[in-house]
Amino acid sequence: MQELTNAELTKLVHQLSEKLVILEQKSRSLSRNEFDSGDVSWMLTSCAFVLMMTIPGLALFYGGMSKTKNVLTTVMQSFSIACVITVVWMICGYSLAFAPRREEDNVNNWFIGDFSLFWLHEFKLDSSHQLAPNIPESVFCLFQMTFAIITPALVCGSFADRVKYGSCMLFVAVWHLLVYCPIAHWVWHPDGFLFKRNVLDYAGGFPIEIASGVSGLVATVVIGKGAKFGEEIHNPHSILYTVTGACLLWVGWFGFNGGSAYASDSRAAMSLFATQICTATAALSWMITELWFRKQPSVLGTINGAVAGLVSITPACGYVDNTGTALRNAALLSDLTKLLILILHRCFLHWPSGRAAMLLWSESKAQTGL
Amino acid sequence: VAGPLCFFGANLKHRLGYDDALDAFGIHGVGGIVGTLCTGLFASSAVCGSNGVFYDYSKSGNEGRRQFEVQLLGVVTCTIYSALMTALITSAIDRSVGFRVSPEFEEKGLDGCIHGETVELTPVSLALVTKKAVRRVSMLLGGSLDGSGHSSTVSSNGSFHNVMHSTHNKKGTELSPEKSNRS
Repeated sequence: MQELTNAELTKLVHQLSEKLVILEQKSRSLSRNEFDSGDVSWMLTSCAFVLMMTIPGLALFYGGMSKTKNVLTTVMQSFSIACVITVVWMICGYSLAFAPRREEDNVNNWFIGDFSLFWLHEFKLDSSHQLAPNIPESVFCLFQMTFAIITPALVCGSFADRVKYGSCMLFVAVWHLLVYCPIAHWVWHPDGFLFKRNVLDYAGGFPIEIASGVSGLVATVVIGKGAKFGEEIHNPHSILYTVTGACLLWVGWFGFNGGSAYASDSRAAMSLFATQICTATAALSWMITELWFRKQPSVLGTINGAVAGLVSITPACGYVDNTGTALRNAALLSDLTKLLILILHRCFLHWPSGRAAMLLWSESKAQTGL
Repeated sequence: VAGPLCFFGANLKHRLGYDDALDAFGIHGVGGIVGTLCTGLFASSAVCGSNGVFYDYSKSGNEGRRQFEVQLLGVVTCTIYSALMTALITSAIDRSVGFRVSPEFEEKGLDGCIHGETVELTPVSLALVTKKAVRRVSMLLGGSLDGSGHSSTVSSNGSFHNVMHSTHNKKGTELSPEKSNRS
């Protein structure tokens, strides 16, 4: 057995200590950038995708559907909402929805967050949010900001053609703080009461789709009908714009649903898969329903079906695994629904077939002379 | 399911008589409610830790039903809360600063009335253009009537000012740089 001399031993110890120093430096740099670069890059991409859904996606989608004399108003509303909500979210919206849970004070924030992140003053370069520890908080905040932007833009689709611009912006800011932030807190924040009951909402079925849809309905009831609703033919300015917007929405929704995994992992991939399948089936089933009642598959109807599919898969796409089964069940149910509606149609409602057309209702009324 | 349901959701507006201009409720409200409820039906523990009704293989079948009940609770609370708050906010804005534009604006179209821009020639934009044209012509006429001899075709704002300037100056004999460019 070979014995080490004193000098060799010293040399070895020296080399070891050098390696230790290098290792320590490496671990320090790791702890400074503990974020997964793949996750961060996917989330940054998703932010861009979701912003693209509002401008230009939703702006074109709604702009194309509105009357020629109101196109710019509609587009302008979506665009300004993007600016207004960004500022409001920065000032206190993010804090109200996602202020971190504090262990030291036993406040039960089941309803809404607090002002502890007012003006985002606690942001640091490497801080992260408890819901997404693998990405920087700035990315989390930005991603949620794009969600907060698209929601009021959806609401404004209900009354875009008859409100004052300033009042609309005021409504958007107040609505964001009083409706969107609390519901987002209920559903997504670990303190929220629905979150504690283990409610499943993957990418915003409650705060975004239900809240915006219901609010849009209530706002139209309060504001009142358009001046010539039902009397005048509603001529969409350009269906081509609407199709473009719907396509942008579809593509952008990949970031919307895929990004809600807060990681670039298999769950994100599965949710994208489910999104694509559900959107396509919904568009097809709307088309077939329309074919049944109107004898013509309309462009507007089909893209609306696609958007409806995107909306309805939003809360679920992170939770369904065997999309084939889900699809089969969905197809079966949609057949049942159609059958049911057909029976209702025959027995009770006596809808003229033309009346089933969505935006072309008035036009077909004129044609059939009803 | 979503396609047909939203189709009839969107048609509701004609049957119930509310004016949801671009179908925000028909698509997003109905689609969102259907989607969140279906999450309770189709969720799979292989992905998220709880099973929906159709994926519930436990003997009692309670797990899936409980999940569906939670989803239903969420839908009901969210619907009621956002409906109440929106009604409050809209009526508050309506009573304080006014939410709706005047019928005249609505008739003419908001693009021209609020933003002063239009995408094509509508009566309003036509009126705007005509107004501008009338103003220009009257200015030019004013210049020529003054006898200064500056009634040239206006090519830019610069020459506008020149016309104005020379008219007010009463030194119409001086030639402005634009004078040589007149058509």
